[in-house]
Amino acid sequence: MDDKELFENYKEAVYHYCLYMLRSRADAEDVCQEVFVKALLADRSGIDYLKAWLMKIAANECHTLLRRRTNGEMKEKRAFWLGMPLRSPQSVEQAYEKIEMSGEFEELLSRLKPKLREALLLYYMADLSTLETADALGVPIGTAKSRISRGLRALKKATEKESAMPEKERDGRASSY
Amino acid sequence: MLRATENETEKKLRGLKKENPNYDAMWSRVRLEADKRASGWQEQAAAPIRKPSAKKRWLMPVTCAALAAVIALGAAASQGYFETLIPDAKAAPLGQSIGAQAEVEGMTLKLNNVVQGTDRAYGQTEAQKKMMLDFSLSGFGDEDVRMAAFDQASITDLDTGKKLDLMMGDFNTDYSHSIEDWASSRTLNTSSRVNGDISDTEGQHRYRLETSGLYMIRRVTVPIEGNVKVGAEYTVLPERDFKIKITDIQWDQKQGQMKIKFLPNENVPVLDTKDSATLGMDRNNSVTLKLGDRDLGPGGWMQPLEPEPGVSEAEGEYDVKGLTEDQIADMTMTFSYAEPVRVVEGPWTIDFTIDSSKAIVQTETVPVEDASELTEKAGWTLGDAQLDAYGVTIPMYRNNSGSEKTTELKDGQVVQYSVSITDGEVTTSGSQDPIPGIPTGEEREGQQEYIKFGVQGMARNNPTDHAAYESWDSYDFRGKPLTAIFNNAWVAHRHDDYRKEIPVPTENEQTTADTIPEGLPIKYIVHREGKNVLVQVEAPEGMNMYEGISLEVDGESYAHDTDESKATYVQNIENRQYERVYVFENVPQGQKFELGLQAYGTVDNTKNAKVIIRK
Repeated sequence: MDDKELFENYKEAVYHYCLYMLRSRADAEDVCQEVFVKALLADRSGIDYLKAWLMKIAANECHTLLRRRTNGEMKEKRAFWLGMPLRSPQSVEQAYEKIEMSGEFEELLSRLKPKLREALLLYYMADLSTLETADALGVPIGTAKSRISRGLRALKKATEKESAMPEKERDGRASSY
Repeated sequence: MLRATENETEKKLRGLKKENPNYDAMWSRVRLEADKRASGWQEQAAAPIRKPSAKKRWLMPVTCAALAAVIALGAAASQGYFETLIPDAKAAPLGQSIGAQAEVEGMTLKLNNVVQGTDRAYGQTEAQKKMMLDFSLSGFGDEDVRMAAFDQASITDLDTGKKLDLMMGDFNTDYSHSIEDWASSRTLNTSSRVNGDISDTEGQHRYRLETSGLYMIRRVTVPIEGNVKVGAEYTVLPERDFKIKITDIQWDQKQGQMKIKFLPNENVPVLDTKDSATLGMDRNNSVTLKLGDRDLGPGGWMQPLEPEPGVSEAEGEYDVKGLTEDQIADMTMTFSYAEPVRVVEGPWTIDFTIDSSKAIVQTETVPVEDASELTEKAGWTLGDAQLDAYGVTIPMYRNNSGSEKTTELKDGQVVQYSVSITDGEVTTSGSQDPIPGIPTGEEREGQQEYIKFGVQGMARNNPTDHAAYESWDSYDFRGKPLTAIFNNAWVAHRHDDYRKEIPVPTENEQTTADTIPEGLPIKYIVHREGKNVLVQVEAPEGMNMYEGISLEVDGESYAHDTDESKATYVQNIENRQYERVYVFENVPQGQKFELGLQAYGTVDNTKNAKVIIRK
């Protein structure tokens, strides 16, 4: 498969995984781009299942960015408690363009812990097997299965809770990474 | 309350809403970035096997006769641009830590590290002296700065008084791997390159770095009121009476492209730098076209290198594939430009001393331990590997049957491999230099061939390592186990008896499909323009045309144009690849037209080989 075919075949899977992990179109585009740049530069000759390999790169890239965000938040909080002036007019969280999730389900998904969310996205949306999901996340297969299962239960629970909750109370934020 | 079942949840997960970003634009960025990282801007022109050449990518500016002295936005990025691609290179483990700094109006420029050595970059026959400087710039306040660059920079060898060539990098917040630094410490990094007669004798060497004119800018985008219409003038920035006029629109419906020429008035935003190349692409203006949320480009933007306000036109190229006339009428425009946030004149002066025992990375010469597989499969032998601070170079010898060195490709000859090298920790790709039969615009026949591996684009082998993004502009290969991998062997074919009869060319394009002897499909799209016959070749994936095609008319042979600098390429609207159009001049009318194939290549993976450089 040549470079362009690789991009054409898997661009949607990679982009949407990044989108739902990062909740930012701009970040998703950047990370998706980075995933394919790395893929193009890599020797793919020995890779049997390109999609799983690409999703693994995507998972790594998303991890990196999420960690940076968290680190940035931690530094801001520390600066606040030490009474130091904030150097940025916005919080790090605000600095990222939020994805406007018009769909309720997408919003619920975004509130899941990233570790559960990434497992669900790889397994259901990117259609990887549990083994490939485990490989992409760098965890044992049992852990991957457990995260998929826990994620599914958490999402189901959130759906039930949400439908029972008055409109004005439906506001929560995603847990930290 | 409704009970959600796991099945419903699974179904929703599988049916998550899909968005439609501008994948075409994304692909362009991916392609460009990959090419740049792979081997640097200069190197791409001669590595056309898997990547289109630099000339192909910037075909439009080359072929546009309407604009004198035009440059492509990307092509404007000269050799120095790729240095700015790695602005956040981590402090190299190699070389000498410096720590010298200078501060002006709160802006501190710090020289963190220096690595000195020799570089054998693509196209260079001799090793060049090179020094990489790692800088950080701090002191940014709350300003909305996106990029910063020094307008003037120089480095002087204080022992000799000579100035050396300095390519100062830009400081850019756009690189995702600098987000953390930027958000917390408001510090940006860059690397810069020094070439020239750099002192490499034992002892200490003193240098003075001087920079001035620090431009800190942000990119501003404003909507342009009104529909896209030739002859129309638009007020873009009313506060400064900046207007722009559309002087021409060319809509190529077949290619799905639209070219629009803009004439900005004399109030166009321009950075008043002394050097018109300061901030590179980030200083330019551009007009973006949109249809709803769909970003139509520009995919290419041309303007004079030093535009004359009110006189110089700019031209944008837009992807309007599949748009109807109604949609074209509904397109909207935005204007983007660089706005100075702060300019600090300076100067910054940093005197520093290099201890050659620390800063210089001496080249290590290593005899290749085992290249037998490569010799057996390709007939190649390898000389001693040179391990430099900036890469690995290995001379390569083809076991030609004759003693003559020639670039003429022979049937069955391995022309090129995809090559990479690893020490077990990291892997970096390489390239052959030169490649026989590949036009480079330079006469390189008979030159020694090398396999060269650079450190740009190098990546860690362990993909499960979630470490932060790393980039290198130097690396210590010395004393480490090294293995080179040779994959995707491109093997040359010559089939002098191949002939494909085509219809008599007319001014209308006629397509003829065929199958090459290796079983791959090929298409010829032929038409006549006056005395010339033009043949566009749609070569399949896995086939690379080395010498093009030949034309025979009633038994008389004609050769195609050979000046690569003037060669024409057409973008295939389906696969977006550029395809060569071979021009046969002064072809008479005739009865029987036949096309022949000259040397071309296909991939033969049975020739993959591993070379142990050092265990």
